Amino acid sequence: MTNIVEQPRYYCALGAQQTVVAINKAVPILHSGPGCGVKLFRGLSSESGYQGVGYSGGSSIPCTNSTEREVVFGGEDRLREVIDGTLKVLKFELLVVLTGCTADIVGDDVGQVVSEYQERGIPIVHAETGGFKGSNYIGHELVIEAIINQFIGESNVEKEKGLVNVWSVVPYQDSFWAGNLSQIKKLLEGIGLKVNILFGPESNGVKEWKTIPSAQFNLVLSPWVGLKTAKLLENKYGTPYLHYPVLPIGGGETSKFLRTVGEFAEIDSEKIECFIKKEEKKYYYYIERSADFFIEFRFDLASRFFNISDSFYALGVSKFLLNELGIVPGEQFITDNTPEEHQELIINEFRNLSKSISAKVTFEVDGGIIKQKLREFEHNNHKPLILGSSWDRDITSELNGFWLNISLPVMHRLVLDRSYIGYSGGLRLAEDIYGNILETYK
Amino acid sequence: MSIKIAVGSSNGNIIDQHFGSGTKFYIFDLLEGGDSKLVEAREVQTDVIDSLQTSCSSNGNVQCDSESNSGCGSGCNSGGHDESALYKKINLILDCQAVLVNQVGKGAEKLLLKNGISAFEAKGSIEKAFLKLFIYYKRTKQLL
Repeated sequence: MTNIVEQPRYYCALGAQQTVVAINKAVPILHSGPGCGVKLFRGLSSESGYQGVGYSGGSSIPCTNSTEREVVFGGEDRLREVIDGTLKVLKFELLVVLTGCTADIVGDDVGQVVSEYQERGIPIVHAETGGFKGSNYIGHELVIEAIINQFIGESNVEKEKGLVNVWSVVPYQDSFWAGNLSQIKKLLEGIGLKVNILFGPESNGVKEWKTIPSAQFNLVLSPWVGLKTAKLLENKYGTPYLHYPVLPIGGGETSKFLRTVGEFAEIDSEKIECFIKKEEKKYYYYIERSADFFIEFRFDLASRFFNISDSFYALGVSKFLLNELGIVPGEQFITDNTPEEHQELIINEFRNLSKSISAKVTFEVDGGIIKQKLREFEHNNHKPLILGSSWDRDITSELNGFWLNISLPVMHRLVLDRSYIGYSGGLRLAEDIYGNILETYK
Repeated sequence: MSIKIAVGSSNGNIIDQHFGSGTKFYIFDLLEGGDSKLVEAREVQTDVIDSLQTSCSSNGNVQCDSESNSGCGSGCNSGGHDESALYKKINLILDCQAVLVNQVGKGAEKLLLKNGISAFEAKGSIEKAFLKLFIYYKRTKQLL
């Protein structure tokens, strides 16, 4: 059985360096071989909608550049050297030391080195993110775990009613993460919650992370990434969590989402309904007026849709396209290397995509195999709508279909604050899909 | 089975010589069981040192000291370093499989490799370095 993945759509655990970059004023320090950091930056940032270096990313990331010398004689001294240099040169509120494959195999006692600095009161933690540990989805939670255990630590603080920690899309891996998190924050604030969004420009950075233990509850807005974190927080601080697996895209899903969260948080239902009513009025004005377009448009519309993306998007987008735009599902491919124990829940969600329609979902990371399955699908001379990555442009044109660049790698779009979440997110998605279809006409 | 290592050292206890500027090598046999046996000490011929130092000082290169990043073996002169001195030094330890020093320049490292000698950089106690090297050789099956 081959261990090669054709056209990968995610990276190794060390990719979690980007998770650190997404936290305001946090700086990652890599104890790894030379090159890992910049390659991960290019893959997760440049080729994910051209997101740029950020405060502490790209080539600013301090790294021990371990080579044979560190492998044979140990890299602990080298790591001390690099941390000392970082303390002199960079301004930060939190340092996160990440190990790459080399350090993890060689067995450097990074914990020992880091604790020497922790004892001096320096805000620094370490996480073992050697590439073989898994994908960057896994690395993301390893980094969060390290920050919770080593930086936030013990806390008996009073819970603040109405404060919620949000664990949702993975920064940089999701090209639209910044806009998405901004939307989620806005929606939850709309029903009266105070939100720790934790990553991105609308978060209060490292200071916000310190208030995690005082949240009333944790919201895991994700099919599976974030569950481990929520369970840890439940054990450590006694905070309950709500697991909501479907990313709310469009009116129907967003209203359902707000009602569920509102009920869990014990918010006055009148407040929730008032907000929903206002938003739905705006939202359905636009859906209604585009009904003319859908009914009277004489040229070909997309016949079936195919998602080739991670579980977040595959599920959320499918729900929206089927239930609100009336496009029928083809086959959906989930490319985030979903751990087996979480696949059942996702399969069930797809089984009940709408009251009457189930969708086939396949967990596959290899692009070659996905291409093959797309070729074998019975398209019946219709044009498929493929929502995928830059890798999938070729197979789309081979099948004479329509394409939207929505999952990593996103090299055919410049992404700023665009979001596909919420009421306006659904409208955005509809615009982008039909924009791309209309663009193919002369 | 054993591996012969030339260590750049002034006293046989610590590694404190650069390959290029060093004057003394202590030759050890690293044995199968992990022990090491001192074979002998070898001094670099004085005319070799002189020619090396001459070329260095005539360059007036302030960076040419033990703190510099580039090993004196190749970094000192702008490309035209005294190759005959280098060859003589390599000749001195040709029977060894490895050389262990504080620093070695890229050019010298390549030349050593061409002659079947691996270069390792480390500092401090020779005994401690040998412990690490022993593990490395076991893992790479060079010492069975």
